Amino acid sequence: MQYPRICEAGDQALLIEFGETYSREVSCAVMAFDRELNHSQPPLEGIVETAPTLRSVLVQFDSTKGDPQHIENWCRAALEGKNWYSEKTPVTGHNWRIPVIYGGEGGPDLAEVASLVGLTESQVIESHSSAELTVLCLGFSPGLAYLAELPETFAIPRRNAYTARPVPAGSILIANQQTVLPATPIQTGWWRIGMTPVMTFRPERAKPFLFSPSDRVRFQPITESEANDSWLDTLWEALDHGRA
Amino acid sequence: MVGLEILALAPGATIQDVGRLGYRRYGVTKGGAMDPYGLREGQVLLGNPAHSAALEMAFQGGQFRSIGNNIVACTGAEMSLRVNDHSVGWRQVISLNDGDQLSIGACLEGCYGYLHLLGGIDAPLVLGSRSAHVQADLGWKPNPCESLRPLARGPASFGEGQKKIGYCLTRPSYFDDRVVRILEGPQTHLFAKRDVASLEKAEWQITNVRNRMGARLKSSSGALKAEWGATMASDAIVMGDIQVAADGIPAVLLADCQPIGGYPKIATVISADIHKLAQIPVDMLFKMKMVRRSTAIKEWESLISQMNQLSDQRERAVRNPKDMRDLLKYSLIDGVISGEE
Repeated sequence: MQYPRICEAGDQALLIEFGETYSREVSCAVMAFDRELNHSQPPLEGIVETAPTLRSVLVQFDSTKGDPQHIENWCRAALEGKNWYSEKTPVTGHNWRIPVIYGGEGGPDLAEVASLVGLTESQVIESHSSAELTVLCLGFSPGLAYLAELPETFAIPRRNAYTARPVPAGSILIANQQTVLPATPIQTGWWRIGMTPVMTFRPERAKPFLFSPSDRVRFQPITESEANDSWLDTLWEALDHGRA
Repeated sequence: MVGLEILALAPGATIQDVGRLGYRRYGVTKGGAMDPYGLREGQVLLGNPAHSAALEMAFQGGQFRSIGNNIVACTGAEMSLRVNDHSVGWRQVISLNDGDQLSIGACLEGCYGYLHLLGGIDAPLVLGSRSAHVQADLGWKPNPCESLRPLARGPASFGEGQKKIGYCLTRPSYFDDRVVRILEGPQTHLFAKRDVASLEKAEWQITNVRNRMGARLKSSSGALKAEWGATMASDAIVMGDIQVAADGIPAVLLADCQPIGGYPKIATVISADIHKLAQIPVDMLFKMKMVRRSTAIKEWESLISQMNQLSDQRERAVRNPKDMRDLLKYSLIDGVISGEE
């Protein structure tokens, strides 16, 4: 299969695939293309919304509001216009420092992960919190963020089984050199090493999701006593004022 | 205060409008009414705005008591409908007096019916929509003992609503259609030619494993098999996608589907037929037909234009005088109904 390729996803969407699976290059191309599409001047008529995934960009349109052929032509020309795989992800997203309580009740798998990767618990915390991560995409559940890329140490598979009970929103989950941060309770097979007190989905707010694709995230270890509300509001106010 | 007190309600009832756009990139799909045509019927009958919300009822309705005077309409899949002891017409504007009991029974055809109040049902706006989203756990799923309230309305709009009493719409023909049109998709090539061909050859049924997220299908031709196996990298899902899980059982993904998924998709139901498919009752046989994308796009445009023209088709019900127990409610004598606000 040749990539990138334009696929038809039903009659009201195109799927622009940049690779068969996730890789750093594929994901950078995805984010760059999604950005270009949303910033095209004049805006492309008929596009309803676009959404990046780990390996593709979904372009949803309404054919009663814009010509699908025109949208497809635009995408084809854009794809041929440059080598998307040489794109470095543009640094125009927000930069977040997210406080995390590692281990304890909210991170019951920390010890197991440490022994799996051959580090001490504090080395795992040090390594995880010093990585600068990118929000690759959100999906699976509302506001659930896929973050990459962790050091190769964390190239560990998921657990064999799903958790019996849903893990809470704010859980810091790792596997496959990625971190997943769910914004609602989910059942998961990922390793749970910590918990952030930040709610990343607040439906009552004008901008209800803290993260957007291509935001940068760094985690900051905190103690339980430091997990007070002042963190949360500062972050959300930063989102409202574009200061993050 | 006016509205309908819920005395009983079948499971699966949710508040729905046209859904929410713009949040897929944050993990929330559009959602909205399973049958947008059925939703639009009620909006047109009552003169409600296109973003107004209604109660979507799945397979069964419920029992409601009118608090004050109300003007309502039921649309979508027809269910048995009574006001107190009298049968009333589906797709028709009806008035309820204080204490009147509205009984909505089982579906007579289709699966999803809509109960509308004049002005639309009041429900919290979440991410710009009043739709309950089952997968994302957003919005309002009403329960007995709660009440459906109309959005604030003035006496003038109630007066306008009174003029609409008796308006009705004819039954749309998609309830008789037994052919669901499909398109090939990005992963169709992962399936054996025989399996792709069986989509059109076999007779299909929707199983009772179905909800707002999707519906499992069955056919006489047995399980399907993706040559690639069941694990591929997660990718975007669109409404209407027919995904095939590891067990080879296909499922159509509907309004509240997840934004991404890891099962290969053998085909996609065309946008103009998704509401039709959603209304197909369990065990009714139907066929699938592969069409060209240009056809699918034309059909979508035609559906939108039919929905936009619904108001021209609205007509005054020709009513049998013996059914007119509510004769006095017609404006033969002005002022019988007082505007209650």
